[in-house]
Amino acid sequence: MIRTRSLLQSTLATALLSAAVWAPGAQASITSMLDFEGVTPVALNGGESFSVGDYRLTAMDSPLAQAYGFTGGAGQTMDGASSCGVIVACPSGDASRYYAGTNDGSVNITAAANDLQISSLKYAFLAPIGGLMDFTYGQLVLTGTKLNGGTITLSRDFAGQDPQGNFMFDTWDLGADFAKEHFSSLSISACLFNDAAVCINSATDSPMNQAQFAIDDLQMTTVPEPGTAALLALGAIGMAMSARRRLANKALPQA
Amino acid sequence: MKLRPVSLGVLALVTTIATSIHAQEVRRPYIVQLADKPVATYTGEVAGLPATKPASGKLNVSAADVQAYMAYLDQKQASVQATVANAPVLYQYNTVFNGFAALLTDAEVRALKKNSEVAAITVDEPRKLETNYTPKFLGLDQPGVGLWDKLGGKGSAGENIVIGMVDSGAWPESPSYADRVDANGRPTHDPSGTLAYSAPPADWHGACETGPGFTEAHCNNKLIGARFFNASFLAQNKTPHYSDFASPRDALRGGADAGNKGGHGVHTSTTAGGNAMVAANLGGIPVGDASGVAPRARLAVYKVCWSYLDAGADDGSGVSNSCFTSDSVKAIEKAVQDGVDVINFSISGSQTNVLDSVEVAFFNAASAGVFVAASAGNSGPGNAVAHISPWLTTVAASTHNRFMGANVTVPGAGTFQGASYNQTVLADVPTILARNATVTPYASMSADDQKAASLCYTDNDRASPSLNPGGKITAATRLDPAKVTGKVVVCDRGVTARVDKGAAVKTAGGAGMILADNGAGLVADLHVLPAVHVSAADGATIKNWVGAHLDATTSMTKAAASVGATLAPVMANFSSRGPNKGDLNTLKPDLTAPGVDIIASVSGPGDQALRDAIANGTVVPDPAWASLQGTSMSSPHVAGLGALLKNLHPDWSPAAIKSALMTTTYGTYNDGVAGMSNGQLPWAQGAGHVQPNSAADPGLVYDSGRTDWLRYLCGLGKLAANSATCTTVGAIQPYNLNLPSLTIAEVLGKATLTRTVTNVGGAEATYTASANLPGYTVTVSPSTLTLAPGAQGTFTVNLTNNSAPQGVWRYGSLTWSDGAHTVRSPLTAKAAMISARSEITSEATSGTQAMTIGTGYTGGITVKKAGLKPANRTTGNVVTDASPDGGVSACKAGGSASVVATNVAVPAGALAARFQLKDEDTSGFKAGAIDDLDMLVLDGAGNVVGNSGSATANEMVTLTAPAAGNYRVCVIGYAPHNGSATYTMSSWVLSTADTGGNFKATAPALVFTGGTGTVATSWSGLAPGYSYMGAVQLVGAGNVSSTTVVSVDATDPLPAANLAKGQAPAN
Repeated sequence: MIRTRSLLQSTLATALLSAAVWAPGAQASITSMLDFEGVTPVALNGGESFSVGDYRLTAMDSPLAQAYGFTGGAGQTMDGASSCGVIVACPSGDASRYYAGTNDGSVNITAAANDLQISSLKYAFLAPIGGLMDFTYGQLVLTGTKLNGGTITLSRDFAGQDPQGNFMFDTWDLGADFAKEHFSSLSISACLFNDAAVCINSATDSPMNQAQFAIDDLQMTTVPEPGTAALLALGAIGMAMSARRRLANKALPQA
Repeated sequence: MKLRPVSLGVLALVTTIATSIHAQEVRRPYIVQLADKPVATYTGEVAGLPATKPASGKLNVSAADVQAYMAYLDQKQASVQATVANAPVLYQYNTVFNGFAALLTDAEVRALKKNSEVAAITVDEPRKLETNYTPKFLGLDQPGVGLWDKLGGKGSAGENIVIGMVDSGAWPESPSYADRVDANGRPTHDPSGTLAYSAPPADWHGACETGPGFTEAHCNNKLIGARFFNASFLAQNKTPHYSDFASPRDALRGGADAGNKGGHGVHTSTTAGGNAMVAANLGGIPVGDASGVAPRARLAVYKVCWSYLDAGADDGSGVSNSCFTSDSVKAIEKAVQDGVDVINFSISGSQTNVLDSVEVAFFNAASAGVFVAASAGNSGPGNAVAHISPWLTTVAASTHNRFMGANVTVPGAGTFQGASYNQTVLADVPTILARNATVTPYASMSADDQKAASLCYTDNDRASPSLNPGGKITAATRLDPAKVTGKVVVCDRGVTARVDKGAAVKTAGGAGMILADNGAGLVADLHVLPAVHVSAADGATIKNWVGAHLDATTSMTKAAASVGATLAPVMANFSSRGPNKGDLNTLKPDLTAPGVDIIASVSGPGDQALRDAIANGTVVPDPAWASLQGTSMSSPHVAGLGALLKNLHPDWSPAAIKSALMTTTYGTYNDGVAGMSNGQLPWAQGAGHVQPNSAADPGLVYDSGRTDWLRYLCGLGKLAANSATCTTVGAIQPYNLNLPSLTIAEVLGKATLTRTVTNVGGAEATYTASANLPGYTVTVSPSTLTLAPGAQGTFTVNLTNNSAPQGVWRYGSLTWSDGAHTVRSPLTAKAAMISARSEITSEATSGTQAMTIGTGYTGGITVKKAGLKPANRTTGNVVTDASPDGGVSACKAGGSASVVATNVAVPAGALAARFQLKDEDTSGFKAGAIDDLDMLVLDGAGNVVGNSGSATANEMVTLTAPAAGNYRVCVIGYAPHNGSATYTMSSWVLSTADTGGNFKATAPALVFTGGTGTVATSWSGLAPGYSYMGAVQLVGAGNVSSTTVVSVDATDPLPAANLAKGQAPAN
């Protein structure tokens, strides 16, 4: 199954690469690092937003809170040098300003041009207390909503601790396949492993406010003004995606 | 309240007691053995009393059967002693020997020989009896099983271990400090004696500092070090009292001058490590042999406490003896450098700050492997435990069961036993109530005088502002010689010193006194006239009879020592109680030890002329002894035990020694105190009463060291999480520090505590856990540990609240047992709904803070916020305040030039209020000196709702969720520089109507039982140069709320001093 998907993704990548080459609009895309340094420090309830350049970040309540209609704190900017006085478990490896998703919440990222790509980011587990054993408690989860609908989800284990017992920031190169995807929005959240080693964060399986993450230095690309060329490119992507879906369906019985 | 020096007045002993007791008949020391078997060999011959001889291993003295048989023996002994009622009984035995030691006349010996209960009478020569009772009470001298025996007997117990005493110095003439012995093996300073100690240990680097009354010749191979530290004291510009010496010599004690307040350091040092076989006497009354707990230890004294003129001294003597912090810190540092193994610190300390400078000094001492014992404080039964840092052993005080008592008979009322050192028999002396013996008839007195009439004030007591605030008690209450002469007077305990009451009766011509207790417990004192201190209940019976019978009479016996007549140990009423006000998640005090009626050496009495003669070396003063009480007295017992354990286990860390002492304790008897101050709760007795013979072989220890303590400080927030130290060592939750006590202040539905034990036994052993805590399901995982010698095992204790109410402490225990060892820890927990930090601080004009909260329910949570708001700054001027109550009454009355009042309105729904003074905002600080200002806050009804009394002008009072009303803030000129200070006070009153700085606070949408959540605050756009405050209130299930103050000081503030005022020996 995994091998099959890899093959499919290679195929897809080829198609996307071709699309990019074909699309003159891609020449106008801007790649930048979203590092939060210029952001006014802010604490966010679910549904509240702030902007960084061409991007807008919206904190989202946990799936459980959303299901029951509760709203509360779901994210904030943090300063590695000064925000950690009362969370004794701030991650190590980032003394600058970064974003923290808290209380099982997620952050939803959109671009003014309704088109964004992401190739890498720094991320860490934001533990509620210090003194935890060195263990992989969960994963960071990236869910991209593609321009033509449909989503792709990618997840990766949080890094463990440094020798001092602090959870470390890690850099995640998302890989060429994911990096080439154009999204209308990107959701970033965390999940925690339960006893059955299933990583949970849903309305029926709550990690009880402890699925928390820190992110920084998101390598993002967006298109300032969508135009004809871009639409052409989108069309190409759409074709490639439907091809992928067909192949995937076909591959399943072999797994 | 303010740290006023603790009064020594109640302990001042009067030395003018009649000493003619030997004149009539010659008494000689004998040991009287009785027919019944002692506890250790008793096999159950008496009907109804099971055997107490241990089948194997050690005798469990606290077992019910043992206690029952001891009570039986005590009763039998009492009946025999009653046939020789005038004989001073030095000592009573029941464990390995059944009988007593007494000073007997020839006629009494003959009478006893005819008594069928008596098995044998032997001459007490040479005396081997350790009549300073506490080593025996602790069981140190039990043959075979006693800790002394394990170390080769008292002739080697503590060998080459050096105990450093940071206290008020030494009185080198005491035989307790001698390094020679006479032909009978008794310690002596006589140069012709045999040297009993070799040269100090090779790694000893101490020195013998000299000065008035102290030369190098005063040090020897027992008292191997003597230093004094007075830089800070001299800097206070106090006038030294003549009784003191600018040298390691302790100040004079007692005599005609109530200002002679030395002797504390002599008492504590000889208790910890004084020689054995020192014949002690109290005011000329022989009380048998005294011994330190570690009699072969070497002693080094570090004098830091000084006597000086102090018009505000609580006892009206005009003299205080205090110990200044930086002198203490230097002394501790020096002691560690010199190479001491153990430090005793019987001086008060911070009740809230684990990083107080003295505690930091002890952190380093303990890190260097020095075992530190410190006194819990004498502010009980209030919640005022001091020395709260986890790296030292904090000692509470409890009773032992040697009882110096006499009988008092009031025909018609009965015969009562009470505490006494009385040496004069009274027969049928007319008796009167104090209230019926005053110069003005009781019925004609003011209400204040009527209350005081039975308390037997002296004229000096009435003149003392602290004993007679406002002078409301008048001379109408003076005892009238016309009514008192030749009579026994019945006085009530309370307010004034017990010995003062005796003095008042004697001044009026009285023949004796019956002192009726007020519930605080019986104490034997050396009174200036025959006196017996009876219980409150017995006192009431006596007073009823005497009050109704003008012809009432009293007879009084001589005092005799008896053992076991009272249940012991019982926590002393004065012993300061927990919880730990600096960290609710660590237990303080750690344990208790004997601290009531402790006999040891003190300084001698004297006057200016004698003092000068001692100072210039023309007079060699006599040794002296006194019976004192206090946590100052219990702490050196534990220091001595630390020395013994270090001697037995040189590789044990200070934490291991502390663990061994704590996990082998037993519980005290009920002291009857209500509520959380009850003596049987861990707040009073810690883990329990020391049982050193078990501590020698505890099985397991809970060890910890420097890195663990640093992690603890990081987790506690005392070291910043992003500091270099914390990023290097990491952090742990305070309740997870590896202490031999388990305490958690906020169980949010469930909690997990982690501990690690080390097998210090000689063989592999399998331990099984058992744990209980009412209201909780407790599991230990793993529940068994099999550990090779030296191996460690880590386990968790998991608590799940099944019925414990919110906010109420529950008390249980965790015990590991392998069949041979019982390793017991107190387990103490309180359930909570919301757990949040009380304060968030920042110095940034914009920023965010993330705060983890704990929650004990599942559901929604709401958040209220106030601020950020700049300080309201008001400037004032204050002059020196001399009011005896620290300014409280002046503040209530609306203020004065020395107690400057500011009225503050607090609106309904306010979230917080804060009032703050800073050194840099005072004129003295700006002039390069220090203003010592204090602060007091009263609510609308005049109740004190907050106070702050540090040694500088850094003062702060914070009120959370204050009720609406008109409050009053008073700035008190405790000691402004040059008598006057101009200051600027910052104040904030915060309600939800206050907004500013884009301040925002968020709380989790949902919280969970036993869960956590992140509360975020953010702000921006603050102006530099101002100090801002905000508040966040979380409201959860059942309207339970929790308030967190947000302090953003954008003034780039200076590091703040956090000094406690001068401290007095906590005796």
